[in-house]
Amino acid sequence: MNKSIIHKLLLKFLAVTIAIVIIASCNKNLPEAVPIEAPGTGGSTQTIAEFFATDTNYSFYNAALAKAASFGLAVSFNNKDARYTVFAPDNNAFRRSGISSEAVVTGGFRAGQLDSLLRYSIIPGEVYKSSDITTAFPNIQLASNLTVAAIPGTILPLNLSLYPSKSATGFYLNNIPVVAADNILANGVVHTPLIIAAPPTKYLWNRINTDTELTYYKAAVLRADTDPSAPGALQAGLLNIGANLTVFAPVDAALRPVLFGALYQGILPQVIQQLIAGGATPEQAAAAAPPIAAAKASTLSSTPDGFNQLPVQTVKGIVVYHILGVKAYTNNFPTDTISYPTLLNGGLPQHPGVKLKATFAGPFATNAIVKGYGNATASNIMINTTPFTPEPFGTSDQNYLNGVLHKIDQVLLPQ
Amino acid sequence: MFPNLKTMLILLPVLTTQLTIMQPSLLKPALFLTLFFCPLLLLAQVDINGSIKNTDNEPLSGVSVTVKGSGSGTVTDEKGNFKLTTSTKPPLTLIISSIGYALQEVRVKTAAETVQVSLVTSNSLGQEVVISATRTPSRILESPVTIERVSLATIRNSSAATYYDIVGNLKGVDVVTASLTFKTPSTRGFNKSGNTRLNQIVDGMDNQAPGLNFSLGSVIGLNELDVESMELLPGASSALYGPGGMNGSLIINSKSPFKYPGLSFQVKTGLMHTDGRTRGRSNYYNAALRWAQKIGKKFAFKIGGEFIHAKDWVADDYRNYKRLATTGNVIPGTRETDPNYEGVNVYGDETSIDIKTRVLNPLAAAVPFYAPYINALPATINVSRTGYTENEVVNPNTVNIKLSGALDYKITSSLDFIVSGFWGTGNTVYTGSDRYSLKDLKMGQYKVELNNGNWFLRAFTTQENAGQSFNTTVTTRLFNEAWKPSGGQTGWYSQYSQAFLQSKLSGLSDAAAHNAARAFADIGRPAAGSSEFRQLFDKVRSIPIVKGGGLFVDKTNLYNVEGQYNIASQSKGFADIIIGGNFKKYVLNSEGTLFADSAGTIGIDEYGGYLQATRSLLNDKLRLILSGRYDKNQNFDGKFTPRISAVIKVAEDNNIRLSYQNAYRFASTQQQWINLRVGTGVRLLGGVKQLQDYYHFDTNPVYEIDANMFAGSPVRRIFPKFKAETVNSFEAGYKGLVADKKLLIDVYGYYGIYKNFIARVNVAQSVNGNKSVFTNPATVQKNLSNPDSVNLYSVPTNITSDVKTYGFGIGLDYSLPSNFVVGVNASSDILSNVPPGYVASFNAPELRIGATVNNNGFGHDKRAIMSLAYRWQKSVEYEEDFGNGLLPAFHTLDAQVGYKFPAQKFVVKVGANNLLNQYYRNAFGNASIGGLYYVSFGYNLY
Repeated sequence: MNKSIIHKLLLKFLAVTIAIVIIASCNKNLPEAVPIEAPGTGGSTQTIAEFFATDTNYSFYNAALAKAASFGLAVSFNNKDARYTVFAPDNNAFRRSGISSEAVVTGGFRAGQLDSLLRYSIIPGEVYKSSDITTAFPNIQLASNLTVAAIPGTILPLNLSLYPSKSATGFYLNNIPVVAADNILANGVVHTPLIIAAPPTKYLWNRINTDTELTYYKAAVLRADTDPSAPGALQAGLLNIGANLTVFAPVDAALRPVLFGALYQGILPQVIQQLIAGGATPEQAAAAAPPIAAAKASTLSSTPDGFNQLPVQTVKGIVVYHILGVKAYTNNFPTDTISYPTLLNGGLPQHPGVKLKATFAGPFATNAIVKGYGNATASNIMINTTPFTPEPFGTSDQNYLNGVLHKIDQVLLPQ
Repeated sequence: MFPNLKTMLILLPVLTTQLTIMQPSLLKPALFLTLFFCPLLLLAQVDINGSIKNTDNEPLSGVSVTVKGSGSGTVTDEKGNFKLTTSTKPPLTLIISSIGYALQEVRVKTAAETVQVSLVTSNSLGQEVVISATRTPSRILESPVTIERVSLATIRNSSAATYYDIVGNLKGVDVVTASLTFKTPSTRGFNKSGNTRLNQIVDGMDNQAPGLNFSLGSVIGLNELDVESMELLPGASSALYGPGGMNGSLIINSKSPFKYPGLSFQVKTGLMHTDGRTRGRSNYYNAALRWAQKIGKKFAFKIGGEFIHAKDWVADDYRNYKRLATTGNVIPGTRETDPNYEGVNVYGDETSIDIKTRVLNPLAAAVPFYAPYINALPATINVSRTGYTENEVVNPNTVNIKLSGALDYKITSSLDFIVSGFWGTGNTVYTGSDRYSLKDLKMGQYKVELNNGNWFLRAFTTQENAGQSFNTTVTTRLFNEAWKPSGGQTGWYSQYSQAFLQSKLSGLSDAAAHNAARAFADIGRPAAGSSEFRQLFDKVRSIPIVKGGGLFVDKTNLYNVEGQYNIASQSKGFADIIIGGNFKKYVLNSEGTLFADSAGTIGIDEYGGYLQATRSLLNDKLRLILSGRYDKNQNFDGKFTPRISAVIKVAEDNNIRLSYQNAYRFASTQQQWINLRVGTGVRLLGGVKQLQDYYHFDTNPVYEIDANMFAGSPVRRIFPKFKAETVNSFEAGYKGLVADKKLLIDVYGYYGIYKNFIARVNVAQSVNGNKSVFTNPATVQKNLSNPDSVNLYSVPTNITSDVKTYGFGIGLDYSLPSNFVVGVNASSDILSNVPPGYVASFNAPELRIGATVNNNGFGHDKRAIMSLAYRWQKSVEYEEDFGNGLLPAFHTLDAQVGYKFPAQKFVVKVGANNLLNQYYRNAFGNASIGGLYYVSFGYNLY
């Protein structure tokens, strides 16, 4: 073989080798952006909608969803990019709430009513497992999925709030015990309450204004609102959807003696002065005045208008001492006494507030007390004789748009 | 000795020309240099005549004839005759070289003898003459330092679409491609767009744009048809080329109109983006023209122009980037899945705030019953504004126009008076601290020169105008603000946050709520390319940065005078000696948009001188070369840099080279005087003390952004006096022809120690002089990203500990029959000893491999030509001000076949760059480069 043949072979070999190397190897594709996998719920792959459609224990709920379909909740429950915490009553919860069959669900309510009913028991956008709920007094306030208005100047909806809580005695939606918790699904979690949580439709003031046992407290509020520095403020607050209050409303039987006492104390010196002016000696006046003052005070305190005879600041002090700036249901009360500030602390920050305590039987408080700083004994919350009794006969855990109302049997005295 | 009257008269117009283009302060050095060199004009000169033929006894025209060890030279005329005038006294050696023929050295004993030479055809491995290694001609095989040469024939035969691309196929070279026409070669590391450690010298003029600090060789340099040769000196070369040549020098020489007369042109047309990956298929046009003419024997001129038009490559790295000051890293996430997404090549999304603390918490205070719901949201919710991708904000049209011209007058047969100029303009994209759209950038370089072969005296100026160039990040962020302000009741973030909360309240997950919120806040956002977008964007980009827009104004100029004299003929017997010197003045003028020059221009003066002595010993077996250079910049102490090199001839055509070089660079004009708040909120500061004083570093201390700061115990940073950066480089190499002169081997290894390495360091300063913003580990991160609380600066400083680099290169070229030459090469560059926390930006791959196959004449009448060039490089962790990230390994193949029509002087070529169209990037955040397929038609390409 001569040299040039070797060279030619070498050249061919080189050419082939280069061709193979080049064709066989490839540049890796240029790196591209990698999406972040949104964190899942860690639950089953079933959506909330699929769960309700398949679990027969929730057929009433599913029937309600179907009837309210035009409002879109069923579609939302199918959206895997959505997140919900759903307090969904099962069929038994419906029955406990007086809805005995699917036919009643579909026949007894309008679609819009059902939609509101369901949405009130939903926390949108978040997955709250029972372990995520605080045990701190009194509960956690979260927006429900029920929109009632828009917040002026924003695009934000005004949604009613829910108050889930947790304690040694259970896990609650407002004052309703949850009987089955933490069914985690692809797009949320389902908890089952004992009964249906009905959305409130009225304000605290509506109750105070109309309850025949609260006429004195109403009068006290109205008297307090004549304060020229904040005219009408209390009533407005009790009618404000943005407020969030607990009202310990002393019934008339409790408030009338207090009114009498306050009037008597105010009237007695006046009567003594009048008697002295009429010629009696101070000793004679002091001896004769009490029955006269008592009679006057008795007459004045026989109607709630008697509050108009008391100084505004005195009345206001009593009224606001009966209101907490949070919404506390009886099941939120601690089993060991705690002190908690009232609205009085808005003006007197150092005031020790009121003391709260309850005792429980199962998930329900059987006794709940609130004690004023100036009281010798605690007032009792007048616990409903049957749990969940609504107005007008319910006396505890009365749920309103802007708060909860408990009737109490003794006036709380701030000092 | 006094200059004679005739010489003075001749010099007078030259001096006047120089003086009119120079600032008054330049007068002194110019006069000094002129007076210094004038006496030298009197030296005796001799004429040497001869003729060159081939082995068939046909005369050869265009053959280069130079006097060894001096700058004198000429080329043969059409009849193969030459007449060479030189001041070197015989006996002397002529080097005779021509492409395709073996180089010959001819001894001339007396001026009277007529030189008759017959050249033998050869594949010419190792037959080239280089000048830049010693500033005097020598055979490439005998160069004392590593050198690569790209000859005219290589350019003509290359598969690269432009001559600049050829450099990228040389061993040890990396090219950073910021965009189609913006290419920056680097050697021995520190690769970046606009590398300031590698000089690019075009016809004796430093091509660096004096304000922007990058060399514009590929944008505004020589027209391809006017390039005679490119010589690349990898490694330190300050000793001859002055400050800047830390890592190398690229010397590009144009064609003399005397040597290369006539008309030539070349048209290339091609296709890009053929797969439509980043933009629709588009055309590539490149047309070049050169016309040179001799008028009589004394006068010649040349004019030329080149025009390029194409749709640029697209920087399309849309990965998510987490940024902290000028460092950061790529993280997972897309616009749809990360509300705080910041795409690498997406601009405007650098604007980011924590909506939790800045919008939602105040909202919770206003709407208390949502407070618990808002409080339950994550403590920090960072949200970035919606950006636009680079191809949406940068004009896709790359236009590049280069014009050049020169007049060459022979005052005497050996003394040329040359006036020349280059001017160019174009649109291109550059990567610095941000991506810059260089729009209607203009740069001109103008020179007058007296050149006698043995000495020259030249003055040049570089006139730069950034045109309508803008910072894409800053401009797009401002565009977003101009469309819809971020802050305020109805601002983008307020709308976003409300819509986010609303979406959450309707049940959406965080991710879905973020997308819904973005869709809401972006309602009415101008679509890229719409007339509304164009109008608003053009408005923002044409407002100077100082006035709240994105335009940077830069009209910085450079003035330079220099001279060199080769006194070999006088110092003969002892050593061949050359001496030279220069003076340069920068006039920074950015109207406050780039430099701290809002009050007026800033001048920077720099001067230097050098000397080189070469002595042959041991019967020419050993050649020792000693060079030294001194430079002084007004902002730095003076620097002396020596170079010692030796060439040992182990056998004919086999040489070992050894060198020690000390090189240095003064910080670039930007590293001295920049004062620019970049898109990411960091203020880039120059290193001069005046700037630190201006920002009260003395009374309101700056702290290092490091682990100590995040631990709550920040360390105050005090900047010592700014020094020049130096490198001590040791190199050994071997170049030789073996295997019957068919195999050319070139091997080198080097070791470099950088001292006072200039790197940027990030520091933070409390806006209110309140150190506590840095002392709480829980809030320091948040404070750092809040411009109301903390100022961030990036300040260049000298690293006190030494940084070391080392590497090697090996190249083998083998000559096969039928004119085929195959080559393989491998090279490596490695950095070590970088202290933690410094951004060294070394960026060179640990290994690159190249292979080439070339043939400049085969087939029928040797009319066919071909070229293949293959390159592979290892992955690199790339670091630059713009961003840090892994650059994957890539390979690329260029190929070309062509056919010559000698009678008609035509050449037709079909070629491709990146033939396989496999996209790659050679720098983080830069354009991804695909295939470019072209057909070229050339006339009279020599």
